[in-house]
Amino acid sequence: MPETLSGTRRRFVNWMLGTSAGALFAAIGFPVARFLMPPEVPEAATSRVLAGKLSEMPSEGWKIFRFGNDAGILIRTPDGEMRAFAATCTHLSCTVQYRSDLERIWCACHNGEFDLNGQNAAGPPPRPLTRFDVNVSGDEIWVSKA
Amino acid sequence: MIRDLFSWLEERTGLSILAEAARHKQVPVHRHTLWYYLGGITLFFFVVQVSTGILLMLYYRPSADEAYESVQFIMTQVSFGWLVRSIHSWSANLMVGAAFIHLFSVFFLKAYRRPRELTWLGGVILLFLSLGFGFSGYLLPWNTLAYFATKVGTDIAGTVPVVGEWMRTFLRGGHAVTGGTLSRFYGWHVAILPALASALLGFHLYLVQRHGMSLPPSEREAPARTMAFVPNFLLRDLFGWTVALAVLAALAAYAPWELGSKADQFAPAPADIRPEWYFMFMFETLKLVPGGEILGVEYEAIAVMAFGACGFALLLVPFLDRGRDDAPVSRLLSALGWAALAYMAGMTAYGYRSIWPVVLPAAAVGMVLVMGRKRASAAAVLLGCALLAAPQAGAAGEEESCVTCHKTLGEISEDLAAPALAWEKDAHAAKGIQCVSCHGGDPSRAVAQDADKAMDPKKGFTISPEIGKIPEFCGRCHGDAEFMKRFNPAARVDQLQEYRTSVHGVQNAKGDEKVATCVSCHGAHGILTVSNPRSPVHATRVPDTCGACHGDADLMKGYGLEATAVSKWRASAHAEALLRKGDMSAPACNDCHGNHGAVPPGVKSLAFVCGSCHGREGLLFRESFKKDLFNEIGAGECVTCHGNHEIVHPTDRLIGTGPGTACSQCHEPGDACDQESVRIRAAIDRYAKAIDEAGELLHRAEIAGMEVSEPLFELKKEGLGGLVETRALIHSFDTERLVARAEEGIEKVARSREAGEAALAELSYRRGGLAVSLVLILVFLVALYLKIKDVDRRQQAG
Repeated sequence: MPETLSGTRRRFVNWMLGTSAGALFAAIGFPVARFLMPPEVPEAATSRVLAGKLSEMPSEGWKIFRFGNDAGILIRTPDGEMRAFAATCTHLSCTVQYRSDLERIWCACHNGEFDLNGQNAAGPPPRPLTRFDVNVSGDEIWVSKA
Repeated sequence: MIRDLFSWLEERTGLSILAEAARHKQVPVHRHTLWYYLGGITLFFFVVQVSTGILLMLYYRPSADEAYESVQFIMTQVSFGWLVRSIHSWSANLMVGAAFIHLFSVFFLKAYRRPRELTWLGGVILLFLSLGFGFSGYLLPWNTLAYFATKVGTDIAGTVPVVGEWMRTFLRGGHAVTGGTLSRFYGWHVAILPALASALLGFHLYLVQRHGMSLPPSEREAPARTMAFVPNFLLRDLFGWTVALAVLAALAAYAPWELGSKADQFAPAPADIRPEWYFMFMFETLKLVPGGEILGVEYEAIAVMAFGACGFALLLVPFLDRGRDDAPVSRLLSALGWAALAYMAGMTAYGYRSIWPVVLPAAAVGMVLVMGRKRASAAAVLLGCALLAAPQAGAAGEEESCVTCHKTLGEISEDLAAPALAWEKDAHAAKGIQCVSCHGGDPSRAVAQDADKAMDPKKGFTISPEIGKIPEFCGRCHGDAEFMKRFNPAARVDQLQEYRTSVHGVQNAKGDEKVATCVSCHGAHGILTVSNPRSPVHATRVPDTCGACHGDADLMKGYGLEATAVSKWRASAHAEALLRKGDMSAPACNDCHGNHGAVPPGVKSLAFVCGSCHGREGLLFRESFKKDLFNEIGAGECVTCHGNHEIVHPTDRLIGTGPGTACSQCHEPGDACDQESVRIRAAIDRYAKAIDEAGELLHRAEIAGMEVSEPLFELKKEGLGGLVETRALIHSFDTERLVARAEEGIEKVARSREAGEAALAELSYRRGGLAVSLVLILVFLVALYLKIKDVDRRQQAG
């Protein structure tokens, strides 16, 4: 006849089973509870992104911001209007910049130029830059896909 | 209190009947008992899938614009999102794996026989539904690999005769794999398939409970040993589920599921395109099927239908094998089962071998060949259209008698027919210009049979102008703004003026008959527009056209020129860009020398000429102290360091001291400028090294499954912007400015590096957390093991 556990040992096994099961549930429950709580940024930056703040715009009048996995360029035009475009040059994918002296978006790699509507105006770029919509809300500059 | 609650529930539901049934249920114990647990493990993974799937739905967005970003958001922003997503992906694969093992174990243990035919049927359909879950879920992150695999997968469905096209459109929700397909797959994945699977699973489990565990034929002779389903078998099931949970947690932490890059519908298909592993055997088989058809049905479609037939046959297994255990049908089925298992395993292994580097190029060639065939079809259609359109173009104006006659003169002399034949394709002909416009004479049909009257000098006929007069001859029209406006209001009319300023024009004016005129580059008849790739003045053909004379050593000798310019250019970075990469903006001869006003750029204007493309470099050089210095000593500006025609892609090796550097051409080792160049090179090297090291660190974090797209973005900005800008600053010859920019960049790169280190630290933290979880699981498993032993002993003790 097989030997069975004594009462004390059985109680210990039951205690161990119950405690470890409880700990295991806690180990599963904790990440699930944390997952359910929304993060501080409420949604993925997909079609709309906070490109910057008016008060923090660089003195040069332009900045590069991240839009999904791509770069965008935010420009304050000479009229004070905020405009945004994809910042990847349509020639060889260099990141463009704004030249206030030319009032053009300029690609330093091969002297490509785009006007302030994103149209390829000079040099090798074969296509215009994609233009985004800009909405200023208080101090925040929001850019969304047009 | 709890007892009261149970009584209340029992009175209303009567569920104790299930508990009662479970209590009485016995499970056979023999050497194959282990296989009984596979169904439970598959069920466990299904529960994990449902749970994690519901969690993911809280943040996932099923649209082409947002799907990838939302998964990225889950993995980076949501607490433990990385864990939930990784567990969902791994559990999906393990569920399909467990379901396959469950199927084969049931098959070989012949557990599908009467009265379990419907249990088998439901189980096989559940497996198919699992594959459907896998196929639809694979696309949901909307990454490149999944996008193209879905494209191929749905294409395969399209090969089935008669209904294939309908099936493909139905699966895709349109003709192509688009955002619409994603929405559709999402609907299947989270609503339709779960509804079907849940209903079928309930039915399957009910039948399992109803019929109990099947005893394999080989065990029927021995005295039957059993164990109680509750608690003995259930505790063991729990043990297996806990082990599965530990495996899942370990996989999620040590091999997080990668996200890859976002799907681009217009990007070329990646070379390592592949479906999930459980479709690999079919995928590989179809790849091996040769092209061709029989009775109008493609071989590939036959293979697809054969797989469909195998799936159908799998459903029918219980009805095919109804005989005794040793019956030939049973033995044949077993043999077929083993063959199927071996085939599936073998082809899956072969499939994964096929993406090894040795086989990869062959696969790529295969794909290119297939795509090439499609391109060839498209090209044939275009060619057909062109052939149909060509006569229409030729018929733009009434055909002159000149062309009619000259075409027939080919029997006498090809030279007489050639102009008429070439004229049909000429850009002038398309605009309605006729032979008479240049040659004069009388093209009317009335004199068509009389060559003398048609080509009467009194009617202004000239055969062709003298070489010296060709520029003026063409310039009559091309220099006439009023005339040219009729055809193109934006047309240039300054070509003749430009030509006269060119070396060619000057020589022509001196009576040099060997020098290039309009026809040397454009041809005489059959002139094509500049944008036509067959035109000798199209960007890609300019080097050939110029090289026809400038590559002729004997001809060039007379002008004291080397005939190597074009051949040197062909070895340049510019030629590489224009001819091999197809960058039409890359410079050929005319971009630096001019077109009609062809002349070598002067020493002092080189920075402007090169700067027309390399603007930043040109500007920096013109502002530098070297500009005046070079002019004083008569050194060519850009060409001094970069050469002229044979300009190669500049690397950092051009900078610094020692042989092979540009600086050493003029500077002695150790002089002041030489020391400056060493400083410049050191600063650039430090900057480039910082970017490389940070990149390597981030790459390590990325392949470990960490989300580091933000620091990678910042690093890319530095790599593409900052380092390029710093290298360009060499043209300012301002060491302090360059070094300062490099240091600024190194500081920015350090932040990306820190982010990479933080990601790797986070990875260690996750693994540490996992270790704690695994310890907990281990303690639970030990306790469970002791409990199982205790329960077994107590039962045996009576």
